Amino acid sequence: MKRIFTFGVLAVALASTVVLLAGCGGGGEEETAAIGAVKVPFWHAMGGPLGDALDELVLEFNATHPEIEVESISMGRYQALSQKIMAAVAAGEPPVLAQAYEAWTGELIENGSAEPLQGFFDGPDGLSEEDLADFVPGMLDNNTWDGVVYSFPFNKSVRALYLNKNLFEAEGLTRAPATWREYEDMARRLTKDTDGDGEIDQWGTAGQISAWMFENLLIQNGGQILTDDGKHAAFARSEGVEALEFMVRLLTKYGKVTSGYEYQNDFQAGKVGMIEGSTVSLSFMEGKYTFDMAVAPLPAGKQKGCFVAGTNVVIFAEAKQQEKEAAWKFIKWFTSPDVTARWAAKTGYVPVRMSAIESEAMAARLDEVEGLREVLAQLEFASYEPRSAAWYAGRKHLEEGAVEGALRQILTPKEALQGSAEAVEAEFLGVVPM
Amino acid sequence: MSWLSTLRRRRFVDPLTAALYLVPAGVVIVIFRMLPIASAFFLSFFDVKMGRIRGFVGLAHYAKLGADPTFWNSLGTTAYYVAGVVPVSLFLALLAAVVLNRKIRALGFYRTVYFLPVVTSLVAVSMVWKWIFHPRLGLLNYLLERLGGGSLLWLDEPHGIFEMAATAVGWQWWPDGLAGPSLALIAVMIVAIWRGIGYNIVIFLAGLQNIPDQYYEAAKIDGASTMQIFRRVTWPLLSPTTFYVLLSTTIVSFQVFTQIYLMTGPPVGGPMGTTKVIVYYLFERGFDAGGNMGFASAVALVLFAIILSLTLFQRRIVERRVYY
Repeated sequence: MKRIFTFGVLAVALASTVVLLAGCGGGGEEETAAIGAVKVPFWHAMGGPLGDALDELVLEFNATHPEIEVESISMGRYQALSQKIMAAVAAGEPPVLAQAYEAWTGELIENGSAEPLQGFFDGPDGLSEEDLADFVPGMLDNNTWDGVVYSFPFNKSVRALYLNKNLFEAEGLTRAPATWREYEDMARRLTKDTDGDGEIDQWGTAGQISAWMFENLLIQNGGQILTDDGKHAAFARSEGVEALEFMVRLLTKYGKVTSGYEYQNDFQAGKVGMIEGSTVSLSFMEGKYTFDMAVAPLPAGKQKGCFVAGTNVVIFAEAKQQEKEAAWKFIKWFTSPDVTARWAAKTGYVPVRMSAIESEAMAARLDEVEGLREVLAQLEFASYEPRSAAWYAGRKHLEEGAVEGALRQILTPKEALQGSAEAVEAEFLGVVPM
Repeated sequence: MSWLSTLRRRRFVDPLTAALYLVPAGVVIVIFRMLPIASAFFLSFFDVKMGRIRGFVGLAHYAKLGADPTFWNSLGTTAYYVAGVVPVSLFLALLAAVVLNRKIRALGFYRTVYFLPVVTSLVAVSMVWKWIFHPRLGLLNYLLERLGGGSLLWLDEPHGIFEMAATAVGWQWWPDGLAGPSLALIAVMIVAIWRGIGYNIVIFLAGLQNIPDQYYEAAKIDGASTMQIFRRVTWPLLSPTTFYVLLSTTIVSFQVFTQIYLMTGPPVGGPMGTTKVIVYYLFERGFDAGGNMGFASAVALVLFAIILSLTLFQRRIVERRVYY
């Protein structure tokens, strides 16, 4: 009797789990799924407003392409995504489509798991010379290995300066800083003790511990991340030291370093004059501030400069031919001028096509956000980070060691960078560059 | 069944029976313990990416390991962790076990309370403690401020605790090498001690109850004080248990991962890599993009060698003082 009871409980538990799992698995796409449609599992790391925007576009694609069903599967964050992809490839069961950083794609190519996209856009359902020329300069090159395009730009962003115009105007400042000197000068003027209690309660700027910010300053100061052969650290040279010194001065004298995205909250609360952020920060701040806001390109050092961040998409070689073709259709659709413009307008990612910037979908957005046009113009001189796996690991040392150590004022910028450079050298030791 | 009795007379069945009984556990241990260790040893001489062996590299992984400052840092961090968690956990567990071994009221309640953290999911525990340690919203800083103290950064604090103490008493200079474990690591250690203590208490309690009452009675008749009884009776007779707890806590502490993964960062192992313990280093090298299972296997083997030699050392040196 007792045994029967136990079995009963187990059966009920099992059944309810199955029901629950079935409920979770469907997501919101089941209503558009046509019977017999080619399924394209798409693994990505988009969450929050970005995930919503992506799911919406995926639904639209599925509705307009009844023969294909793209399944949007979010892994939450990039680290989890990379681990799942690597494990799935090792197990021989990768998805059909996934977001990937260049370093991951390099690994996949080496493993024979990345499908060359070249064949698709040279093929019948391909892209014309005109289309290819329309891509943002450098973006396709950045997805090319040994002359073959393996991935396509998907969600790309650049850094921008976000300004609280009310605080700027109160200080008699009429425009965004155009140079490092102005950047520092304006940050100093915006740093104030407004209630006279001896404590500063309005900061010129604020930020988080970010290798990306340092990399941008580095290139603006004429430096480079790695040596020309891509096998040694170059960021610890004098250009890098100056850049980090500037970053520390800016963020610790006239600004605040916060953990995570708290600096963004402080800016939204009107306590900070200007912050640097990704263009994507726009979609996270939307509707959460009450002042007049404008965006501006990053101030120039010795030169203008910015690094493009974000991932691309790859198709896995292990997929069936019809799945690959279906995945390519999705990529082609997603990077078409109209769709990339709508994706960009909704999320803050940059459009991957030049004509998209002039499109109708983007025009409304450009009118709405003051300075966005100038921010996007940075794409014309944008650079891309080194793509090797060694640098992918090395970048962590730069962020955790040099940038964090210097911003917390535990290490001087010079010793911080030298320490990280040594760790990066160790990364390159014995690693075959791709 | 004469053949059986013949076999039995020749003492053949008993070893056979014993072997049969050992098969189930043996199979599990061989498949899930021995073979993975052997394959890790084998793989540590190869490049292994995405589940495929790419080529023989000899001792290159070990050489690269020795040249990687991050590896040495993570080893140092792990050493701090073990050196802090093991003695404190042992001391507190023993103290609590001795108290709980008396005939006090609500004994069952206390035993349950101490054991509760052990049976609670480590993930849930980590998330709750992460909140407790939060610099602005956490319970701990709230209490500290209420008590008139300053708030601390806890999991965000990369400074070493010795250095912080020196600064607090007004010293301007403190040698870099003696900064000590970061406060962030201390925070993780507090959670590990809090969580592990219940298990050790149970083991200690079992050990205490194995000590025959006669010894205590004899000591009392001789007029020994409580302290003397503990030092001359309890401590020596408990030593096999203490030795076991010492060994198992040391091994488990070397392998700490979950709390680090869940409580620290982003990025995990932060701030400034001061909580990046050896197993997380291994994980990162094996499972992140660009990861190499061969290299991760080399790390695992180095860790294995360290734990093995430490255990042997403990058996040779410490066990001399154990009374069985």
